[in-house]
Amino acid sequence: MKPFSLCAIGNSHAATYHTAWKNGIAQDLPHLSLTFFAANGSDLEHLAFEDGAFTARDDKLAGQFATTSGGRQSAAVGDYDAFLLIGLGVRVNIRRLIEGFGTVEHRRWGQVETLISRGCFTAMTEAVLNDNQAFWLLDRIREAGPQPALILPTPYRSDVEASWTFLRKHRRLADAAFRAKLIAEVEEIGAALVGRHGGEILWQDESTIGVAGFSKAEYAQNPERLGSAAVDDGMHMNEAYGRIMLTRALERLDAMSGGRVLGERERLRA
Amino acid sequence: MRSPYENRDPKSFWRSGVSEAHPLTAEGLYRKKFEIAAGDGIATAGSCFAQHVARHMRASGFNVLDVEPAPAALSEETAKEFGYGIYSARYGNIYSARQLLQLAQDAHAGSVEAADVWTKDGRFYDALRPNIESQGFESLEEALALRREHLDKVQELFARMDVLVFTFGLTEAWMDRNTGRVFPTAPGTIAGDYDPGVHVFKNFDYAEVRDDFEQFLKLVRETNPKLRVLLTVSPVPLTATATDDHVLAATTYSKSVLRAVAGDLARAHDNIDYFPSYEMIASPWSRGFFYESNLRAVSQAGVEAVMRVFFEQHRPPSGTVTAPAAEESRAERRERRRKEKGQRKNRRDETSEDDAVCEDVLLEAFGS
Repeated sequence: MKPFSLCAIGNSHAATYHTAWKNGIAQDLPHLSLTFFAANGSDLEHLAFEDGAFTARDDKLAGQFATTSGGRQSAAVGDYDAFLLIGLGVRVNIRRLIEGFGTVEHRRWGQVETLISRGCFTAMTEAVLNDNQAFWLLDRIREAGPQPALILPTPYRSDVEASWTFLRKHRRLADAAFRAKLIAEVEEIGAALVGRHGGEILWQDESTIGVAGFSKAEYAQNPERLGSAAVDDGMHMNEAYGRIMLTRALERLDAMSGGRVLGERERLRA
Repeated sequence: MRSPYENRDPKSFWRSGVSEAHPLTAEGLYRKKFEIAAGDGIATAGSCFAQHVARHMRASGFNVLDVEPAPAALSEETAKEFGYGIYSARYGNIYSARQLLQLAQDAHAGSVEAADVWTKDGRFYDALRPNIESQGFESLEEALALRREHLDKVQELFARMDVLVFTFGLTEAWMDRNTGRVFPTAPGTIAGDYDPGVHVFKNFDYAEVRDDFEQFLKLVRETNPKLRVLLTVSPVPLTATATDDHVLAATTYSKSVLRAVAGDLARAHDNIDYFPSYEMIASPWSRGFFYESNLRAVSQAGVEAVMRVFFEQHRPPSGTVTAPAAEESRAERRERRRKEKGQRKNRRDETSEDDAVCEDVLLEAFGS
């Protein structure tokens, strides 16, 4: 197999992918290199794009990049065959999308405080999904090259959180069927949006989802988290989750790159 | 020898009042008839020039009502594309007094008709506000449901407002000859099809415009007896006329009728005031400086000059006159911070066109 060089840029959610990579997948795919540039989301505000490379403009960010990448402080787009954009604020924020507003179709699941058109809902969903660092990174990658770029969104919270007060407060959201319907709509809109930016999005794998809109609790136990002790915060996932999602990501990149990623894919231990 | 003019103010004479006056000072041109207090709920409606008035009043701290606010996630530009934040409700431009009366009657009765929905390329457009969904609604059901919701909000607005700022725009309109329904745009411009058997041109005269507005007042005052009204006339000329007259003559007719109605309404009612923005922009007062090069669109300087005169009489609650451009939305603030921190390129265009939304400009496409 020809070498394939993959770059992953992400926030704290990148840790679960990093652990999955180093604890197994890396050994299965020796032709594949995967360089992580991960930092806390707020520190990624200090990321700049200059001369075709993502560069840390701040000592703290530079330090985190060096730690996670094995000594590098910048990522030149031209050096990589594909990109993974992990977490970075991309998520299906159902509460933000549904609070106070809904379409004619959504009314079938209960009262809608303010009715909006399907067109407006789409615009609103795009605005919510777009409001993060991932799209900025994706646009910069597209400026510099044609390499495949895959967004891996922030995982849903653990389903132990499913009894949250907001679910009780927003009656429609308490209905799993409605949440599933809403999530399907958002995922469709998100996929089209990312496509228009020249990338793809890989939504959370069904096997990791418990009740609609929430991750199975087992994937939130002993989570990986960048630069801090593992605490079950309901938001960060563990190595098992990382293994499933990284495998799906590599499968997709393999298809996008004409089979250059996996090779003997049966050796992958998903 | 005595003359009845000898003790008149300088403003009474053309030379001192206009030809030798600076167009930015407008001394004595407008004296308010009533106060607009900081807490007064202000509703804005009318032709596209009214959008400027609404934005400046909102920016300067007046309590401009918005009964159909946009979802918070939408940027200001996107919200505007969906007709949000332009006026106090999502009714789009209301060019004629008949259109305003029709809206009040529909809101009062909760009347929603499938016949008022136009189609184009499989999409559905609310013919009474065709510009609020640029891509149309996905179904007739959706168009009607959104209209029903809109009328509820309009009824709420008309009951709540303390002051209505309304800008008369046009006397020319297109009607359904069977139902008498009047549309803000000609059928076939944004959506729908022009059918001479169904659609008929109407150029309202003085008596009709005045009667329509009086009827509107009567209807609204059933639930809102203390309503005060501030009238203006749009100085924006017609994009096109459907009469056989030259567009200049047609514009003069239209604006003359509207100006006369507005003035007479203000004279006849204690709680109706007239603000002479039309005179400031369209008369020799401004030497034509306040029009853009197309001699139609009002320049930013013109709008600001008008609003300065307005705010001299109606002092902004904020204490200072704030141009809308100085407002910073959440999205803009976020964008500024991104630029400051990361020195990144803009993710989106910050300098959106500040033009008013005017459907009639589309008519130009049919004139070439």
